[in-house]
Amino acid sequence: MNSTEVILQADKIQKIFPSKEGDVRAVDGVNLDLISGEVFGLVGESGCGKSTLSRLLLRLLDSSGGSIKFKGEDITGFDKKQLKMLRRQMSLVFQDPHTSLNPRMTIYDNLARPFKVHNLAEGREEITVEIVRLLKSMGLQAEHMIRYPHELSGGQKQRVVVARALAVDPEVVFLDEPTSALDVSVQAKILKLLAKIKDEKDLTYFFISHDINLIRVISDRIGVMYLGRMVEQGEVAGMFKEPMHPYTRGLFSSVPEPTPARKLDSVLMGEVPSPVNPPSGCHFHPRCPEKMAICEQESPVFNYRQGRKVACHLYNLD
Amino acid sequence: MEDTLTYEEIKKDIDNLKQEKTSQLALVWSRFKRNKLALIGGIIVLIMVLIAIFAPVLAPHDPYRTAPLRRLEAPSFEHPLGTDAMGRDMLSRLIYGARVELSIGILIILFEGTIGITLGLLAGYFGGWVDSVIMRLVDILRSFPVIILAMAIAGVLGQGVYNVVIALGIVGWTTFARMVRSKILSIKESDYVEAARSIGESTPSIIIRYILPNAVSTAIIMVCIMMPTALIASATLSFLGLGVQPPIASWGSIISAGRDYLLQAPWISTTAGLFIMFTVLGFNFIGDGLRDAFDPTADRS
Amino acid sequence: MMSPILDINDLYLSFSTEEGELEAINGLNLEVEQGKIHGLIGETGCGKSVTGRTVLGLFDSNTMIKGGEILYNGDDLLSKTQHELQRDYRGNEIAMIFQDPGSSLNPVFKIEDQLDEVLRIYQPGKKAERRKKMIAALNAVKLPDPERLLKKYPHQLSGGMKQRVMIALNLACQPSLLIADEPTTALDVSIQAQFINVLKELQKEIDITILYITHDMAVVSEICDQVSVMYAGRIVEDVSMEDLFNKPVHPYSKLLVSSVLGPETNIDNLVEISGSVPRLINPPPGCRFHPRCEHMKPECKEEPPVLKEVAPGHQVACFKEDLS
Repeated sequence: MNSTEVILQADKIQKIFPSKEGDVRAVDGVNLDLISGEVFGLVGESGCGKSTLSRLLLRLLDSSGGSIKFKGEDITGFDKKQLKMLRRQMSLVFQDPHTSLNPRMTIYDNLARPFKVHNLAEGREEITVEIVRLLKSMGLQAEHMIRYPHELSGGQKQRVVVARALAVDPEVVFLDEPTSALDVSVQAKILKLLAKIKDEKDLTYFFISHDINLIRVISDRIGVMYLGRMVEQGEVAGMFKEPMHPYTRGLFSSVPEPTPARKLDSVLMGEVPSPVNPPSGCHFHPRCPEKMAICEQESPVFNYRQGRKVACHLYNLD
Repeated sequence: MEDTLTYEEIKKDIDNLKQEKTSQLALVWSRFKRNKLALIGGIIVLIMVLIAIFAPVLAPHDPYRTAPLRRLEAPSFEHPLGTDAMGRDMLSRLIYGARVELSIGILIILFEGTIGITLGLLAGYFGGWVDSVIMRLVDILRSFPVIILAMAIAGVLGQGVYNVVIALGIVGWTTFARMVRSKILSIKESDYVEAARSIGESTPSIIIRYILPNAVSTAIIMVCIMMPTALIASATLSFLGLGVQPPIASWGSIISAGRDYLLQAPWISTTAGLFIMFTVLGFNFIGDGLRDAFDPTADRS
Repeated sequence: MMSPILDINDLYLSFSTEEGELEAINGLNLEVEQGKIHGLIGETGCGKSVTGRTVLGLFDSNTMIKGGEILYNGDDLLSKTQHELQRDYRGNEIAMIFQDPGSSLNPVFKIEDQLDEVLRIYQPGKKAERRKKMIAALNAVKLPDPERLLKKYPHQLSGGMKQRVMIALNLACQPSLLIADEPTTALDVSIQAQFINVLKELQKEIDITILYITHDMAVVSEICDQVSVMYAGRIVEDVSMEDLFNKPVHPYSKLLVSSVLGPETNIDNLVEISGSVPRLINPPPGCRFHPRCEHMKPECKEEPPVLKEVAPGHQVACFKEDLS
């Protein structure tokens, strides 16, 4: 497969939620290319719109503007039937394994649904064999089939959730903080498992997390969002070596490093402003240590600078 | 290796396991059982139901046969709970009264439940104007005093058992609708419903497979909690002379008939009152017990 | 060496549950030295939060204390009544902040009223005086524009600000010991970083002792002086923060340290920990870590190892011969 084939592409995608105090621009003109076979990590603080962006790309939410292309085809106008086909190509793993399985269905029934919905296997026998195969590939046993979700541990449940996302044999899997509800010892197992499956099935991952250390471990490329906008995007190594956008810099330096000798020094000051009335121009300017006059007036364009995409006026000057 | 798995092998393993495994219902039952009050409530209600079913066998006398010479007799061996103002055997009347009272209660709950659950489901799932219309109707109906509204309706429709059911049901469904709606709203926002959408489930399938099964426990608990209200309200209407008409025995009408003889024959009103009290208590205990037994938070941690 | 401000000895605590007795704390020994930030670290269900709450006598109804003592400056807190704890210890001697800052503040009162309520009890005097103190307290936790903040309601503040108000509120009565139970878990990284810096500075300024409960090794490395590693209801290692990262001794501490995601970690060298935390209803006998331990010996199944000093300020509970 061509290594730079773009599998999912978002162009100026937007989502506006009306609220009593005014419109909330949860996602405000985001451009994104997801390359086939990569792990794209999306980071940002709570309320930056990363979960909303993933739901837009999955077409679980309708966008307010912009276009999304899956393998070159615009999916924003898809009807019910086309959407159902799309659900086989992109799937979603949730953050909290305790709430993302139907508590009144056994693990068997939870996992059988994707097969039945898309007619991927026929009859109880075929479905059972498929489910057991899935469970085993997740490190679970056939006997887990007859259990209810509450009888399983958090780590086991999350394996079932991953299994359900893989049942449709998708090409892109969205992982929305898949390990943040789990303990460190379980987290490592799930991450390894995800990496193994990705290689075996040739998947593309869209990995959302607020844990920057984790994103660094798992991703090939990362994107940083702030108040509904993408502020920087690039290869993981380069981004961590030399973050360009002042927000990225501040965010990375706020991450506690598990090294006794190194302490937090220059942390990001202030708080994320309300998305109802975001600051003019560059949303980040009130907190930016390198603010210039232009930042208050004009929104910076998100474009390639020095081999990386950045939205910052600092890099217009060269 | 994985490909060598056959259905027969898996099935054998699973069948062995299934025999050891307790079902979800059994789990609820085992929790319910451990709750002493709930168990007592269950026994009381069971006894009442059995009394109602086997009334003709259990009743020592014909509840309608009057004996003018033996009116207002105190409890004796022949009439364990005495006789009423027309000389009818009180125990037999109370036993037949259980039939009437419970059937009316069940009818009211069926009526309220069907309307309330359906409308609550529609309001909760579809939201928007559907929700607004239904919930405003609920608000309007709930702003009337229940008994007075029921009296007005019974006044228009005339007296009689079925009119009592309609009169109480027209107000009572609002409680069902409210509870079911709020439950549906929380289920609709849950991760597993979003997960269902993300694997391509259709709307009817989501309602039937994901939302309804998770709302069933709420509905069952509601039935047990609403039953006492229905029983008391119907007894009240009978007491006021709007419900069950003489000579049919219902607990409410017995209390009403006994109130003229409270000093000479206190057993008439008090025994009927005790029957109502115990039945109501029984249903309340069951309702509370079921709520605890269904509580999924007990599964966590 | 100074005597410890908090000294927990052989604490045993169980919860009665549907399925039986859950032995949440099983022979816990913990010494917190005056003036230190002492970390208590462990995975979900290891009993670290329960330990913190037990110090203040905050129990659920199904809690059973099975034995042990909690000495605070030499006084056994377990022998105190709830009334005595409330009057003499909670707030004025020992303060506690929780994970969710939102639920700890009363939503119907302004910040000013909530702070004043506390100050009135401990520092009666003129309202104007107290107001000055309030502003000083908010300044101390680096909250911008305290004058305006006093007029606000909790829902108008962000999570990070609420958590700092909680600190100000707790420090207003000048306690000697602060128990912080996962105070930054619900916060974003940049807010967490601000909070950690504020807490560190405050601790130096007013010389308060902090018992910092967390599951996050990175946070431990930022803030703690001494660390106790907890596993299934017991302390398995008590060690300085530097030594925990540089030379952990207990097999479980080693696993925890190796599971930390650092700058050099990648998906291939990521350490996978085998097994999982045991259920505490019928837990494994002896050392509760033995089913997952690669150094397991026969005696590990017999009885639990006690904490032994392997170096000054470094204790380990393990039967391994080579404890270094």
